[in-house]
Amino acid sequence: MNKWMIALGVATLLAIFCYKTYNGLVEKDEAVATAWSNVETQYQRRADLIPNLVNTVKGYAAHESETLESVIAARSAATSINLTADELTPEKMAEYQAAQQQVRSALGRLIAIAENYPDLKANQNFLELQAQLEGTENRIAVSRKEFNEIARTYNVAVRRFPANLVASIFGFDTKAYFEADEAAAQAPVVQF
Amino acid sequence: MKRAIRYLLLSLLLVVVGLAVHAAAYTVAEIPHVQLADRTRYTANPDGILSDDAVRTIDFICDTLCTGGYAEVAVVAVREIASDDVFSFAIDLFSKWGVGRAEGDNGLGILLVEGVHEIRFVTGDGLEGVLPDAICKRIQLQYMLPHFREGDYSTGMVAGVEAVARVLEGSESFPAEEGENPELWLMLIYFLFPFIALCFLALLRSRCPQCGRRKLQLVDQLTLGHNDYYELVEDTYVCQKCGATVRKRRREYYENNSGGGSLGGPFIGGMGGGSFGGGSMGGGFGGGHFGGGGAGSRW
Repeated sequence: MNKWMIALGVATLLAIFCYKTYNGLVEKDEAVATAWSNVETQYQRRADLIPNLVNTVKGYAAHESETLESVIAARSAATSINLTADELTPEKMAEYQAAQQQVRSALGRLIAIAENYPDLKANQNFLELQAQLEGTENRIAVSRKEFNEIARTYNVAVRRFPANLVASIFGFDTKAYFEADEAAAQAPVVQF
Repeated sequence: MKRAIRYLLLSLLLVVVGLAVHAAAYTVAEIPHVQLADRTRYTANPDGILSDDAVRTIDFICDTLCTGGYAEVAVVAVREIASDDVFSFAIDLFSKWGVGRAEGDNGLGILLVEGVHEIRFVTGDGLEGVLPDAICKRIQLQYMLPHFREGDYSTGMVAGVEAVARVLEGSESFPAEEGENPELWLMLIYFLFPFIALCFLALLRSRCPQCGRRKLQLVDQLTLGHNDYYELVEDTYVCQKCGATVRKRRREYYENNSGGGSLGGPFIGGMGGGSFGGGSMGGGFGGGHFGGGGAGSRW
C-alpha cells in the first residue's frame, strides 16, 4: 500500500514537472515566433521600398539597366522564400540570409551609381527614399539582434537538462541564429 | 630630491591628463542620466557642447512635449563615444534609459557626436507614424546641419528640437488616462500627497547640498518658457554659509488650470498651486522600446 502511495507521489511530481516545462517551452516558442515575424516584417518593408526606388532611379539613369534589373531579380528571389518560425533550421536560415544578402548588395550598388548622377542625388524623393532605406536597414539589424537574443533564451531552455527530455518528447527543436555576415553588421553608408 | 618630486608630479599630471582624455570617450553607462535626478531635465551635455541657454530651451520644449503626452524626448551631446557605430550606441543608450512610454513606445532619442560629425535620431515604434524616417532626415538636413557645419551646435540643436516639436504637436496627442472614477482612498491620497510633498520639498529646498545647512537664499528666478498649462522656472540659490550656487527647477502651474485634463500630472500642479507646483523631483523615462526607426546625418 505504502509503495503505491510513493509511486503515485512520484508520478504526480513528474506530471507537474512535464506540465510546467511544456508550458514554459510553449511560451518561449511563441516569443521566438513573434520575433521572427518582426524580422520578416522588416525585410518586407525593405522589399516594398524597392519598386519606388527603382522607378525614381530609372527616371535619371535609365541606361543603368543591369543594376536596376539585378535589384529587381534579387528582390523577387528573396520574397519567394518564406520561412515560418517552426522551420528555422540552420540550412534554411542560411538560404534565407543569403537571399536577403543579395538584395542588400544589389541595393548597395544601386545607391553607389546614384553618386554619378548629381540630379538624382539632389532629387528630394530620392533623398527621402534613401533615408527610408537606411532606416529600414537599421530596423532589420535591430530585429535580427532581438531575434537572436530571444532564440538564444529558447535554445538554452530546450537544451538544458532535464527540460531537454520534455523538449525531445514534444518535438521542440533548437532554432538557428542569424550569423553576422561581413556586410550586414553595418547599415549602408550613405553620405551627403 | 626636489627634482624627484617634480618628476613625480609631472608623471602624476600625465596620468591624470591621460585618464581625462580616456574618459572623454563615453560608454553607454557613462553618459549622465539627467532625467533620473530631475524630471525637468532631458539634455545630457557633459562636455558643454551646447550652451546653458540652449539646454534650458531644449529642456523646456521636451518637458512640454512630455507632459502634453506627445513624446518623451532625450537629447545627448558628447564629443566622443567608445564605439564606431553611432546608431547602435544610440539604440543601446536610449533603450537602457527607456525613453518613451512603455505602452506607447513614443520615445525619441537625439544623439550628437561632435568628434565624428554625426547627428542621429532614433524613434520608438509608436512615433514612427508621426515622425517617419524621411521627416527626421529632412529636419536634420534643413535645420541642423547648416548650423553644425559652422560649429554652432547650440543653434542647430535648438532649431532641430523645435522642428521636431512642431511636427509632433501638429498631430493628435495620446489620450490621457481618464474615465474611471478613482476610489475613495485614492482620492484621499491625492488630497494629502500635495501637502506632504510640500512640507518635504520645503525642507529639502532650503538645505544646501554642499554644507548641508539651511542657508540657501533665492537670488535669481529665470523663466525658461511657458505653455498653456505652466511655466518652467529655474531658481538660483546661493548658500550664505559656504557660498555654493544651486539651481533648481519647478513647474509653476497656472491658478485657473482649465485644460488640466490632458496633462500628465494635473493633481499635484492644480492643488499645490502657486509656488511649489511639482518641484524638481527625480523622474526617469517610461520604459519605451526602440525598433531602429529614425535617421542619421553627417556633416
